[in-house]
Amino acid sequence: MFLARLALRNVFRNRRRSVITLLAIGTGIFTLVLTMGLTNGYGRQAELNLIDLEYGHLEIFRAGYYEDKLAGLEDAIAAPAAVEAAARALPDVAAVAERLSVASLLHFQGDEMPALAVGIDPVADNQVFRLQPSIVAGRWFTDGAEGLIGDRMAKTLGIKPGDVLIWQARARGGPDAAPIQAVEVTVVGILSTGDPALDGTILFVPLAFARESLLAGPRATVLAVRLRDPDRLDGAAAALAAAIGPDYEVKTWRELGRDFLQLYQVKRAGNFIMVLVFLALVSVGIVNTMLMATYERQREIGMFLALGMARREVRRLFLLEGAFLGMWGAVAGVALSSPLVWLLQVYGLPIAWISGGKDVDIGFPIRGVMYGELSAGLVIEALALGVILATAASLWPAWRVSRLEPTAALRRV
Amino acid sequence: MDLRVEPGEFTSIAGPSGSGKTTLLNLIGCLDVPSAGSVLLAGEEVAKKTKDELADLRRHKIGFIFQTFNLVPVLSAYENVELPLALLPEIGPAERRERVEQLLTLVGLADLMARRPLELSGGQQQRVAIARALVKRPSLVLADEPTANLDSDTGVSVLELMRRINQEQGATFIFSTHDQMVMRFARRLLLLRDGRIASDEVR
Repeated sequence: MFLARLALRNVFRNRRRSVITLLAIGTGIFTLVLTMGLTNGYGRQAELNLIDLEYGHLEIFRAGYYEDKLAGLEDAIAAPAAVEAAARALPDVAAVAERLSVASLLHFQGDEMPALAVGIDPVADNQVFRLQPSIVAGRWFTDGAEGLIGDRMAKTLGIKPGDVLIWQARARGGPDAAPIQAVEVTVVGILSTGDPALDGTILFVPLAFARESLLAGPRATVLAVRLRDPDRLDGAAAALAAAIGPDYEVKTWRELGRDFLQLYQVKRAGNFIMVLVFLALVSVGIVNTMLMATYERQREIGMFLALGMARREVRRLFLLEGAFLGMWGAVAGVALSSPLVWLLQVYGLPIAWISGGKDVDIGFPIRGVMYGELSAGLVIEALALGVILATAASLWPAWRVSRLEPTAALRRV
Repeated sequence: MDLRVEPGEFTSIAGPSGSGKTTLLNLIGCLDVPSAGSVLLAGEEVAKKTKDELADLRRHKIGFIFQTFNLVPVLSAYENVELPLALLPEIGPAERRERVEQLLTLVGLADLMARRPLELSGGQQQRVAIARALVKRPSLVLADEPTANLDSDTGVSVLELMRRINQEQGATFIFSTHDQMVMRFARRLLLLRDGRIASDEVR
């Protein structure tokens, strides 16, 4: 207790030096909270996008379809209504939407580009996905030969709502037998989801129109499921797999988005290491501060040793000083950065506005608005890191000063 | 040099600079161990002890008073006196408080306990240092030029205080000094020259 009280007072003994060191630690922790707050926020947002825009919570395929890169409409679920009914009967399941996807070519005024055409039910799809709120021009479709594309694709092809493009795809019947279908689709709406793949490479058409154009009958390539409780993901996936039997397989959004999630984890670790390197540089400053303090206080340490203070207690005193220095610095850094991250969580960072409409790549592309995430975990992590780093930076100075001989130390002026 | 100091002595070691006063005090105070010869403290050979054992001995048995006071500037007078007791876990908080207050009253600083060293005069600081040296009730108090940084009046009052404590509590006091006044107060006066005892006078 006494040592702690002494250490606490010693932190502010040399005000100017302490303030400079605290600023350094504070800046390091500020950088940590801001960087990781944005990275975590991006991750959280991206996870929600995976669920709301790409996969729902779970997806049902015909067994083998997902792994087979050459799978076509012949390998789709032949009688989706029965599977859908079995899924809806489960208490975990809130909604199910059938989708029919096919690799396609789009033509517009002499340009052509590859795309994935996805047939979606204009009503049922909205119960699983959140595409409709992303319409930025035109309207949501109802039925018939209407299509929705992302703003990136619209820009690439120069398409406005009301323009007509040619959708070309292989209909059901196998690689040799299948006739190539080419139909006119009127683009009635432009989506802007912030998901680069979705905004740049997908044509959405009404499910009935897709089935009819592709001679697909009632087929669906995938049934997307929204759960009542997202935390019941694995339990619900197991229950669903049991209910629909071995002819089908169930994938969670985490499995479907694995590539992205892994990329994100690598990027997150990279950002964390970058901040750690910065904090390591800050630690050099702490080492310097502590060395100066030990040098200035040699006589006092000599007196402590003369009074019979053990060397480990001298070490503990300086380690405690380092810990307090780290704590105050971290508190300052968190106090300054967390309101900022909170603002970023509420209002977001308008990436598109800052970059002039271009995508920004921080290891993965970002567009639109980037949100921060302020969590208790991050704050605790930042505080703990500040204390640990500053204590670690004090180890060597503390060890060095504890080796002093009392008579030599007492002679210092 | 052959020197024997009995319990309860009030002894002054004088001599010119470089005569070995401080070295002798450091040896008696277990801050240094002799490279040749031996120092016995209460019958125990100092050179045979480890550094930790020496620290333990100082912690329990020996009080130091320094020429430059060596108070901790960030601690109040009360806390500076409390410091040696904080190193003795066997003394509980209640007894600690009682002893610190008693000592500060004894040295006449009862009203200034909350002040920090820089808010005290030189004499007051040295009295805090004396209280700090005595608070653990050491059997031996070593004072290295305790009056060197004090004016004569203050020096006299500090010496009177130490003599009173010596008489009342029976602790052994050994000073090193240049100061004629300190020598007058001593009941035994050792004169060092070139590391040897030139005279040893008991009054």
